Amino acid sequence: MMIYKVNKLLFMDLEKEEAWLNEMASKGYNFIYNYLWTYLFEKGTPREYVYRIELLEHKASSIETQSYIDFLEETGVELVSTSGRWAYFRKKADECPFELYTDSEARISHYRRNISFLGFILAINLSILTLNTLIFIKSGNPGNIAAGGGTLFFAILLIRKIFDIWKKIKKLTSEKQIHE
Amino acid sequence: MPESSERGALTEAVFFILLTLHEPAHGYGIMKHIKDISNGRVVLGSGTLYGALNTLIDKGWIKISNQKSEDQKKEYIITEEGRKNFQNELERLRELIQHAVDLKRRS
Repeated sequence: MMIYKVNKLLFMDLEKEEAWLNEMASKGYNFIYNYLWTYLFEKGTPREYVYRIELLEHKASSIETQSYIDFLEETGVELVSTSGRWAYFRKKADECPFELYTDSEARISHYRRNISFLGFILAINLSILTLNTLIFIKSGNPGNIAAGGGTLFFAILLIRKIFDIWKKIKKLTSEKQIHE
Repeated sequence: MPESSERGALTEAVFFILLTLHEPAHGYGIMKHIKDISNGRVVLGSGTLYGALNTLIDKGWIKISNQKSEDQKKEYIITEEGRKNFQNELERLRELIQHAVDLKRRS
């Protein structure tokens, strides 16, 4: 049995998205594919898999990524789906907890990639906002206010997310002065 | 005197990898061995292990020990350079422990 679920705005928060996939898996719905905001799940056994999401360092189609994925597969990790640079991995739940990164250095660089991604979206978003403002000033078209308001709201969300991740990086960096 | 960049402490992941690779092992074997000898305390993430192995290969501290064919997993082994650095680390750790032991003895 397959079910589709739509989850908007999740892409902005990797940890929330990951927690959601794991919550679904704990109910026996195993994530197998996604396209933008639509997620496809397959009915299986509850708590069979643990999911992890990674924003890849290289393009999904590159040799670097292929050799990384090959290595992960040797350690029992399965690539479920990719969406742009996002890779969805899962591993059968066993006595070993499944984490991709267990050192703070790699965690920090993953957070940094995440910030660059959100920053990129924010830049696009702000240019759309500026464009709408300029058109509104010129033409007075109320449609541009609505569109501008939407993008402004979205920009604030993005800035908040970036700030949250930045705080996590700061916390990890200060812990690194004491612990590895 | 070793170069300054190589004088620092090894990370726990690197220490356990070098320790494990005194015998050839493949990725999953390394993870499992480290978990076993640390009584489950140290479980390396696959991504962390992958990054560490590549860095160690680039530095020449470990190398791939088998000819990789299609159906064979890559195996890794420590090099002379790796042994030397591992030995330096052991001496550094011994010195640290000695300081702590001396302190305990005095108090």
